[in-house]
Amino acid sequence: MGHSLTVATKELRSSLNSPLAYVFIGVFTIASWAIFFFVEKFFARDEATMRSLFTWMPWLLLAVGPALTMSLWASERRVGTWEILATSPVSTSNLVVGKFLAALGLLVLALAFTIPIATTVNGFGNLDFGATLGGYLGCVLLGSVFIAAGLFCSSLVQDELVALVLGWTIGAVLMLPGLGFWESLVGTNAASALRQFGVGARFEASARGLLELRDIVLYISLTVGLLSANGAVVASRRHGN
Amino acid sequence: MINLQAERLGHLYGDHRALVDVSFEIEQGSVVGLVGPNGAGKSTTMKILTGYLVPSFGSVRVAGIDMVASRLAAQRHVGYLPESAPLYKDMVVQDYLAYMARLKGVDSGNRARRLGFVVSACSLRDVLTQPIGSLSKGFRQRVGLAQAMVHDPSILILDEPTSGLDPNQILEIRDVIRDLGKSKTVVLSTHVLSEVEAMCRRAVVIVGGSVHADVPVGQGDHEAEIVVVDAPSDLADAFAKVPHAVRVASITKDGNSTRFRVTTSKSAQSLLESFGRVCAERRCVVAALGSARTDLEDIFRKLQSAKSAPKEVV
Repeated sequence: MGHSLTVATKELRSSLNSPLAYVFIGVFTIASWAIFFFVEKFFARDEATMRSLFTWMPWLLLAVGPALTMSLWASERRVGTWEILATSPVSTSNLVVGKFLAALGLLVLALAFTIPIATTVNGFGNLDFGATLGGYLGCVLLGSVFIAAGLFCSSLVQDELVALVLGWTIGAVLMLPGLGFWESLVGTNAASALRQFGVGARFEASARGLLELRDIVLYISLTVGLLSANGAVVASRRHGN
Repeated sequence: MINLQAERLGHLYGDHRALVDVSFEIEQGSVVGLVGPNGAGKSTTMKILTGYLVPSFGSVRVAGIDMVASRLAAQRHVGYLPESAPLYKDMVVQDYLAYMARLKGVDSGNRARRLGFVVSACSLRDVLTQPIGSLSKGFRQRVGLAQAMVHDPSILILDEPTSGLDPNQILEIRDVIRDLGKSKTVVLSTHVLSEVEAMCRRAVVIVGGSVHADVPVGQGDHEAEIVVVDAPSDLADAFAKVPHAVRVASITKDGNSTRFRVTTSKSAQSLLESFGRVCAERRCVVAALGSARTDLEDIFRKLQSAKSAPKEVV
C-alpha cells in the first residue's frame, strides 16, 4: 500500500506538471458549467437541484476518464522507463493501484471545479445537500470505472492516442446497453432488461442522489475487474509478450 | 562468495529461441563483462537476471534467492541500468532519485544518507535541481547509475553503460564502475573489447544464445597452453596440481589432440617445463607447449570463423 501511495504521488505531480491535465480538467469544467447553465437552462427552470448536470455526467466522465489515464502505462513502455519500474522491488498490483489513485485524484480535482455550481444553486434556493453529495459520490464511482477502463487500454499499447480511443470505445460499450435506441429495436421489455447493464442508465438513480447498493456493487466490481485485467496484462509482459 | 547464479537459462520469444543455454556463477566483489555480437542474447540474459523477464527455462539466484519464486525479495539485491538509461524527462534529478529510493524500499531513516552517497558517487551535486530532460547524455547515464545504486544492492546489472558517451564521460563512468566492483557484483554488457579489458576481471562470451567462452581478462601471459595427443583422462587433474597452476581454464578437443589452457599464478612461461614433465611422466605426446594469450581479441577473431571452429568446453 505504501508503494501505491508513492506511485500515486509521483504520477499526480507529473500530471500537474504537464499542460495536458489542465486542458482536460479545464474542458471538463467548462463543459459542466455550459451544460448546466445553457444547455439545461438552469435559470429558466424553477428547481434548486444539480440533477440536470448529473444526468449528463456519464458522458462527461466517459470523455475525461480515458484522457486522464492514456499515458500512464503507454508512455512508460514507449520511453522505456517500464524497464526500471519492472526491475524495482514493487508488486504489479501496487503499481496498478498507484496509477489508478493518481487518475482518481485528478478526476476529484475536476469535479471540485463544479462545486461552485452547487453554491450558486444554493444561493437561489435550498439545495438538497444529501442528494448532491450522493450525486458526487456516484460520479466518483462511475468515474472510477472509466478510469480503470482507460488504464487497462493504456497498458495494451504504447501510443497514448490509441489508448485514448480504445478507452473511449470500452467506455462506450459499457454505456451501450442503457441507451435509448434499444426500445425501437428490441421492444420495451427487452430494452428495460438491457438498461440494467448500462452503466450510464444505472446512473439515473445516482443523479437523483439515490445511491443504490446494487449500483455501487456494479461500479466497484467493474472497476476491480478492469484493474485486475490491467494487472494481468502488465504481469504477462514479464513472459516476453 | 557466490552472489549471482544463472543456471541453464533459456528463453523463447514466441517461436524464436533468443537464449539457448546460459549458465554462470559470479562472486561478490568482481566486475564481469557480458560480451558477444549483437543479437547474441546479452540483453535477454540481463533482463532475466534483473527479474524483468521470466525465463522460459532455467533459474536465477541472487544472494541465494530465486528470482522467479521470490521476485520482490530478490530484486532488493539487484540494481539495473537499462540500455540508454530511460528516465522520466519531466522530473527534477533529486525528486527522481528520492522517488526511486522510496519505490525500492529505502526506509526513511536511511534515505537521506543513501541519496547523499549516490549523488556524490555519480557526481550529480551540480544538477540536482535540473529536469532530467535538460541534462546531457553523460549526466543522464549517471542519473541512471545513481538510481540503480540507490537501494544499496549487492548486484549491479549495467546494459551498455558507456554507449553514446564522449571519451571523458567514458573514463568517468569506468572509474565509478571499477570502484563499485571492489565491493559489489557488477555485470556489464558491451560489444567494445577495450571496455571489457579496462573494467572487467572476467568475460562471459555469449554467442547464439549460449555461453561460448568464460575467460579471465587482463591476466596477460598467466595462462599456459598445452596440446597433447591422445591425452589420458587424468591429465587435467595432474596439470591443476602443478605448483602455481590455479585451474584448468578450458579443454578443447580436436580430433585426437586435446588443447589444455591452464591459468597460472605466475608467468606461464616459467612453468612450461613443469607441464612438460607431467606429460612425460604419463608418456603422452606433446604437440605444442607455450604461454597462451587469452586475449578476448583472440576469441573475437575466432568468432568471425566460429562456424567451423570447435566449441570451447569450459
